[in-house]
This record gives sequence, structure tokens and C-alpha cells, in this order.
Amino acid sequence: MAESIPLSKTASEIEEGRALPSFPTVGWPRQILRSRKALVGVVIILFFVFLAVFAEVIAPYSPTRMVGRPHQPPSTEHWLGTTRQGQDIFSQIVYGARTSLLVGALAGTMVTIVFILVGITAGYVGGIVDDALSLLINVVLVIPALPLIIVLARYVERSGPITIVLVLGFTSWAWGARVLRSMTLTLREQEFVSAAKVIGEPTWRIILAEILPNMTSLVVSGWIGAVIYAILTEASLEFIGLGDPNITTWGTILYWAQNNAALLTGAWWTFVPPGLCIALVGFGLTMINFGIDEITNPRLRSQ
Amino acid sequence: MIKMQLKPYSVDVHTPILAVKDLEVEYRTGRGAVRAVDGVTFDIWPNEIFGLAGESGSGKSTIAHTITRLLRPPGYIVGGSIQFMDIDLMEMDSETLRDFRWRHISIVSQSAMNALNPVLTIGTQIIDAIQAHEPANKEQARARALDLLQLVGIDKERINSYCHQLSGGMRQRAVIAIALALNPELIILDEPTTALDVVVQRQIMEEIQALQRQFGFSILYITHDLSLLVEFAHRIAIMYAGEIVEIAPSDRIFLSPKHPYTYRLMNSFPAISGPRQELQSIPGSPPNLISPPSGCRFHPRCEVAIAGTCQKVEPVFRKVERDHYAACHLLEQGRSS
Amino acid sequence: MRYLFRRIGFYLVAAWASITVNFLIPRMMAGDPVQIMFARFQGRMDPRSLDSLYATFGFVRGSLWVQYLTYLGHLFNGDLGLSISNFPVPVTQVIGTSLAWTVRLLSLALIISFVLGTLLGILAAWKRGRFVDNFILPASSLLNSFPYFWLAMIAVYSLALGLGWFPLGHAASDDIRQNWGSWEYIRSVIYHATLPALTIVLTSLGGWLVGMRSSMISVLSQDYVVLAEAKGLTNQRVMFAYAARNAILPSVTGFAMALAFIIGGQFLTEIVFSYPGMGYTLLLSVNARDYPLMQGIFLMITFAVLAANLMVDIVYVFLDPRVRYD
Repeated sequence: MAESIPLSKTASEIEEGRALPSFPTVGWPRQILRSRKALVGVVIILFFVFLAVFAEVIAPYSPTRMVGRPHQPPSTEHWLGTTRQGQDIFSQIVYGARTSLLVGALAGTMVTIVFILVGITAGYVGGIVDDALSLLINVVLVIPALPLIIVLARYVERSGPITIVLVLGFTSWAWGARVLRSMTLTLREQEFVSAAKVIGEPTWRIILAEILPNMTSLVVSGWIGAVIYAILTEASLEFIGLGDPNITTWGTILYWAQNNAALLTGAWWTFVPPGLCIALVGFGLTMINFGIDEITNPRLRSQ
Repeated sequence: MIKMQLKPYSVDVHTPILAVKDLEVEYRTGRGAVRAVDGVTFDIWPNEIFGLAGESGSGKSTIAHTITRLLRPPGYIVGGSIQFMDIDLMEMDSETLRDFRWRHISIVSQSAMNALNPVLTIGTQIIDAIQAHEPANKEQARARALDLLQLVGIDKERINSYCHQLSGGMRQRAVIAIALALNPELIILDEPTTALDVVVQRQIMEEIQALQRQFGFSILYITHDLSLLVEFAHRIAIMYAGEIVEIAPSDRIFLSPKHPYTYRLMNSFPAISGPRQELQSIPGSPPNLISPPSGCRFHPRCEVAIAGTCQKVEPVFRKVERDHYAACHLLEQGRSS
Repeated sequence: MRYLFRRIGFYLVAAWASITVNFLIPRMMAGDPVQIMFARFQGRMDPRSLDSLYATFGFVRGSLWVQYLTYLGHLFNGDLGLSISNFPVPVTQVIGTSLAWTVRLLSLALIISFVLGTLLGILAAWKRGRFVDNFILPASSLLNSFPYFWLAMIAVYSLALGLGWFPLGHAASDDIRQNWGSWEYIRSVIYHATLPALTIVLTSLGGWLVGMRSSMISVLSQDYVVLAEAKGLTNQRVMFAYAARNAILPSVTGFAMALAFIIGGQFLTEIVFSYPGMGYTLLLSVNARDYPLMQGIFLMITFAVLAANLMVDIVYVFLDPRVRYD
């Protein structure tokens, strides 16, 4: 998008005239921690990663075995109470962090790989390939993903985490592809890219060495967005019973809570903690994305 | 032919339309305060076309925004005064300011591409300005808008056009029509023609000049293009790093510039009538305004700087000859560049 | 007008794509999908529905191409097959009633949240300050991070179950006969829709707010806004006719693009409230392995999204003269 010269901005912006859009280059990961929002996000995510990695050490009980009386509210013995099956919810949350983060990260990575491939191909190759891929991107964007995912998951029947990763990778890449495509279009016209072309660098090298490095912040924030989406979608699918109910995840905890009529029996401790954890992870990741945004897009920075 | 009713000018030709005195403007950024305008003083007289020239970053656009009170944070006026006839512009409450704007000072801003609202018709944007200040009803305002369009040479039919339907020159004319809507005493041209090609640039400046002669408003013409300025302005002020370094009638600036910076600027554009050629830019870059150079701000780029003096002592802005002022140590020593 | 024709062409392509995906899904399974489906019901399925399944999915003798054409033929006759769980009620009939509930609830909630979020976004950009940056933005992104269905659960638990302000679920009171002419019935419908609508508004509001705010901020630095201020227009006129009027354009485009995404989340809200719309029906069909109904819902909801997109495009034409006269 062609941005005009802002009239009433900082002195440098006004007087220096039209500046090129500042492409985030290599320095941004270090800068991120300087943003308070991103710092909050990183702390939250590190906390959950810590839970996931050291689940065996942190969780006081097995997440699947009956270790207490059923449907007990939080107590010193069971910090977050127990399920109808007498499982310890705190332990379930800790182990659930492992599956949820893993599925999120894997699905996010799947989605990212697909959108990098589609987006850059469309933007770099151009012509009829771009037309076709752009049409595909827009069609996928406009078809509601969750109903499709639900139908797919039902057909696959036994949908464990792996299925969810694959289905998400298949359906949820369009947004990122769209962003990368337009960025590639811009970068393709840059001098350093045409210079590389003139020298006779092979296409794969131009893409890997000239184009991708200049999009790292977009790729990373696209990845983060995909991870958030994956974690939420996983939880949704499991909540409506399309996951594997025998695997402990935040989604299946919610599924069992719903199945055991936790709402009506007032067993709030069975559904409040998993939802909060999902929201916190999503919030933390969003904050990191805000941080990236603030650094690479100074316009949004508050004064 | 022109049905436009002119408001009688109650202008006293012996007092300036606009008097800017010791103006200081800062941008407060994370890295410190940038003094974009530092002690600027100038007057604009009735019927005068006053030029303000300088490189990007010299603070000339900031002056335009300050005079119209359009400066937004992080920009702040930190000192000085702006007097419009007998009105103190700094002391206006918001409603007085709102009504003052455009009625007395209007702007033709940098690029007409962006100065027009893309979702409103040209007519609506003129009518808007009229109705914000006068109790005209829709028909009266529309009739006036038609007159204005005719005045700037736009077909009447175009009143219902959107800006994407107009050519660049036409847009610029529409912006000028809006600027004339309330028949203001002062029009600020802020780089009015930069986006246009050379032929249209000149054409539009000639039209503005004709309008100025017809209606007698004053113009503050801000540009980095000295070639056009010398031709159209009566007097010219040269800005460097937030300060005015020279003010003189334009023929004096053209024939006998006193400040080394002006001299370099004059030589950095091609002869007016000659073929346009690559501009010869001045070596070095404008100084960092967070910590401007000591002494004369131009000394790091000045080829004739006096060792020992220019680095340390700030030159005084002094009268060189009648109506000609400049700030340079060379002038104090009786040598001219 | 060319713009609208181009968009309609695009939606036709998208509709065709979703129809084709729908055709392909059952064929991605190994073996005879209908036999597999039948086996899964372990005799609970009416044998007559077997034929209907074959017919619905175009499992006729012949090449894939012949099957595809048969399937398309059924579709064009408005035949989505018979629901297995409600045998022999046609899928279209089951969908018909639930679609109406969803459209009513969603369109109302979405319009409220879009209008409210946009207005708040305008204000947030106009009065840029610490409060918005440090409170409203993080709060809205926190709200956005909650699973929709979980927020709905919390709403049911606290406002409906705990405080008793709202009904626990369903679209209307069971004690009142459905009658759109009776004020009592309509009141009951509104009462039942309030809490689901509220959770939808609450969860989607932040997105519009943040989007409109950043779009406003970039528009506010445009020359024409500065010029509008210089013209001495009133603040309202500058804010709405000049700034917001332009800033809303990307927001409207964003609205259209987010529709497909949002609907997914709202489906789950319906499930929590047992609200008899498409989402809840989808859940029932998923649990009952009612494949024709499931796929019919997917198709219908896709068509609904496409239709909504087209409506947004029409609105856009009114908002942006550049596409009106291209």
C-alpha cells in the first residue's frame, strides 16, 4: 500500500520526505524485549513451556488416574480440585500444557510452511501462477474453516493430535500466504533483489538469501498467529468431542467437564482453569506479536 | 465574468498581515527534543508573495503548521509569538481558532494527491469549508463552489467528481479553489506543485499569481525549489537547520546572495530558462537537530568558514543593505561571499 | 459496477470450490464410504437410508466424473439428501429452520459488535492516550484470546445459572408455542438470544476496535484530514466525514474477510447455549454421524458466508466512490 507523507508527525518524518517503508531486518529479535508488551508475553509463554517440559516433576499426581474423591473443590491436597473421575485437575493442567503447546507449535509450523511456500511462489513467480494461487488463497479465506475442519475430523474418525495438526495445516494457511505474497511483491521490486537477478543468482538462492530474511518478522508473527489459532481450534474440536478423549489436553478437560455437566453441578474448577490457560497462552503470544509489530511498524507505536 | 463577491479588505498596508517573532518549535521524541524551528522572525505584508526556502528538514513545513496552529504532539510551540494583523494566534480558544482558520488563512498543501478526501466530491469539500464559517445554505454554497471552480479553470460539471477522477493538475486546482473559498487574507502554499510535472507546475504558479493580483491576498510560499520561488516571490527567506539565515527581495537573493548557504542553493539549481539538468546538491547533510552544531550551524558544510570563529560564535542576523538581512560572520568582517 | 460483477464471479468460483470439496471429502476415505458409514452405525441405521446416502453423494456406477455430475445434478435440484438421524426428513428441511435461527442471532450480534467496536475504535484513535494503549488494547486482546465457547460457559455459569438473569439455553421458552405474531413469543426469543448475543458481541468487539483504531491512526495523518482541520470544520465533521469515513473502508473489508472465521467461533457459542442454530445442529449431526446433514451444513454455511460477503461488497460500493466509478 502506498503510504503518503504524514503531515503532522515527528520532525524527522515530516522533513525527511518520503521514506521507504522500513523493512524489518536482522536486528529486531533483540529489540523485542524492549517492548513491555512483548516482555509480558515472553514471560507468560516461558512459564507454560516450563510447565510442559517439567510436567513429570511439577505435577503431583498422574493426570489420568483416580487419585482423590470425585468432584472435590480446590483444597491443599488438590490445588485445583478433582474431576468427576477423581483425577487431579492441577496435574491435568500441567500435562495438558504439554499437548496443547506441542500441537499448537506443530500445527503452527505446518501452517507456516504451507503459507511460506504458497505466498512466496505466488508473489515471486507472478503471472498466471500468481493469479491461480491468489484465487486459491481468496477462496480458502472465504470458506469458513471451522465447519470444514469439523466435517474433516469426523470423517477421519479417530482424530488425535496428529490429525488436528494435519487438518489445520491443510485449511488455515491462507491468511499468512496473503500477507507473504504482497510482501514478496514489494521485495521483488527492491534493488538488492534485482541486483541479485542481474548477477545471475539462482531463484532458490534469491528467495532464501534475499527475500526470506527480509520477511522474518512477518513469518514469525504469522507463525505466532497460527499457533494461537491452532491451540484454540484444537481446544474447540476436543470440546465438541472430536479429539481423543483419552489424551489429557486442555480441550479434553473442558470436554469432560461439559460431559459431566460441570456447569449445572457448579463444578467451576473443572472448566475455569483450562480456559484461563488457553486464554493466557493466546494472550502471551498476542503480546509478543504486538511487540514485533511495534518494532517493525513504528506508526503504531504510542507516543 | 467572475460573480464572486469580494469582501472588502480592511487591510492596513503599513502593518504586516502576519508577524512571526522569535518562534521556537520543538518535537519531543524519545531520543530528546528536536528544535525544528529555532528563533524564527519574519513578516508578511499585504499583497506580498513571501517565499520560504530550504532543504528537507530545515523546519519550513513545521512553520506552516505552526502558523495555522495545526501542530500536533509531539510538536510543541515553546516560544515566540505569531500575530495575524491585530490578532494574537497563540491566545485563541478553540472555537475562535476554528472560525479563524480558513476565513483568514488557508493552505494549499504538499501534494494534491492526498489533500483531497477520496470519498467526498470536490463540491462537497468546497461547500464544507464555506458552511463551516458562513450561514450560507446549500444552494448558495454550491453556487459559490461553482464560481470557485470556474475561477481556477475547472469545468462546472466536475463539481460532482471525486478526486480519483481528476488529473494531477486538476486536483491541484481543486485544492486551490478550496483555499480561495473564504477569500482569506493569507494563503500558505506548502510545496504546492512538487507532485506535478514541470509544465503544469509553472502553469499553476502563473494562475495563482494571477489570482493573487486579482484578489490581493498574501502568500507564504514554502518550497525547496528556488527556481520557481525566485521567479514568483517578492521576498525570500532562506532556512537552514531551524533558523532563517537570510531574507531579501528575490532579485537580491538571485543576483547577490549574502549567505554561503544561499549561494550554494542558488548554484544547486539550473538556470531558469535553460534545460533542466541534474541538481548539484550541497555536500554533507542537514545537521542533527537534537544536538545542532555549535556556532554557525552551517559551518560543518561551509567551504568559506572562518577557522576558530564559525565553530564557536553564533553569527548575528544583521542588515546587509536595504531590506536585505543575513547571518554570517563573513559579513561582519566586511567580506562578502 | 464492474467491481460487483468481478466479486460475484469470485463468489461463484468459491461456491464451486466448496461444492467440489464437499464431493471429495467422502472419497478421501479408503473403501466404499457408504459401507463404512453404514458399518459405523452397527445396524442402527435405517437400511433405506443406505440408498439415500449413495444418491446424495453421487455414488453411482461410473467414473468419478459421472459421479460428480450426478452429485451436481442433485445439488442443483436443491437436494442435499436425507438426514440419517432424522430419517427420512430431507437435509434441506433440517437446515432450513436452524439456518434462520443462526442468521437472526449472528447478524444482530455481528452488526452490534461491528458498529460498537468501530465507534470505540474511532474514539480510541481520536483520543490517543495511555488509557487506550495500556488498558483497552490489552484487555481486548485478552478477551480475544479466550475460546469463544469457554466465555459462553462462564456467561451461562455466572449470569444464567448463578444470578438467574438469563435462561440457560434454547431459543425460546418451551412453554410458549412458536408464533411470530405473538408478542409474548417474540419477547421470549429476544430474552433467550440476549446472552448468546452478548457473548458474541463481547468476544468480537475488540477485533473491530483494534482494527478501526489503527486504520484511523494512519488516516489521521493523511493530508486531507489535516486540511479538513485547517478548514475550520467542527471536530465531529473532521472525525466522521473525513477521518472515519475513510478509515472504515479497510475495516469493512476486514469485516467481510473475518466473517468466515468468526462464524466458526459463534458455532461453538450456540453449542454451549443449546441454541438451535446451525452450530448446534452441526454438533448433533457430528455426534450422530449424520454425514449428509453434516456436509449439508458445511455447504449452506459456506453459501451464507458468501452471500454475506456479497452484501458487504454492495455496502462497500456505496462507501467507496473509487470502486463505483472504475
